[in-house]
Amino acid sequence: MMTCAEATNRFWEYLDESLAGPHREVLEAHLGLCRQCCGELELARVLRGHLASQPIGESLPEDVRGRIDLFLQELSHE
Amino acid sequence: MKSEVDFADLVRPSLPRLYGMARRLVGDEAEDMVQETLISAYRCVGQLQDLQAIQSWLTAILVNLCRDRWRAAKRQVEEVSIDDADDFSLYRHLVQEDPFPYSDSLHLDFMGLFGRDDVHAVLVAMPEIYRGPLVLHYIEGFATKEIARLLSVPLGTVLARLHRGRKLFERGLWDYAEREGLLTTEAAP
Repeated sequence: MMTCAEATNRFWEYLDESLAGPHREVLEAHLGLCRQCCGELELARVLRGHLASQPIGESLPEDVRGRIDLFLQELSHE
Repeated sequence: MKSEVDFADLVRPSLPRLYGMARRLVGDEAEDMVQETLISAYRCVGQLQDLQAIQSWLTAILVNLCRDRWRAAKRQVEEVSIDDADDFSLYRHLVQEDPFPYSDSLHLDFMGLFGRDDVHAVLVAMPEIYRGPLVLHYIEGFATKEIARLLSVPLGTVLARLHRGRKLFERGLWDYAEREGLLTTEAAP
């Protein structure tokens, strides 16, 4: 029987779909009985979504772009 | 190929992503880290056989440089007390503190307080060795095995740091919300 602490420690792996079959089944059985852990899992899902929504190709600030362009020019004269 | 103009043209499209990644990995020193990456890349760009792979190649160089930096800082990080991080549950904390007494979706209301800049601020406040795997996995989309290879650490180490990193992230969100007054200004009845 899985405890709530054991269950919460595995939520992110569960959401990553990286939890091995037997552990996954035990966790899902626990979720079927524990309302609090369902809430914890939902929070983990929301947190994961917030991380995933961070922009990965954000625009380069103009001042940074200018300095890096200058740096590339200097590099070319090395 | 090692024409300097060509090199600049080659790397320029990758700069926004590289800089964004560096910001999440090393915070305010992102620009320096990008420049170090460009120096390393410039020196061995002749070895790059597939120009289409420039983005992932630059990314690997950046992560390698970050890894070296984290190794140098590891001793200092280990002195940070995070013993209680493993026991922290943001969900239980929200239920106990009850900042949204009339809410039936605590987690959504709480996370609704956080914009992208807030999440970024929480991330960059975390110790680098825990922030790195978290950023690489959940934001940049690297598989855990790939992170282990990039950081030259065993897979078990990556998984352990991810676990600790997630806990520290939860703790960081709560501390940030309290410190920045998000709960008192947004959650007032």
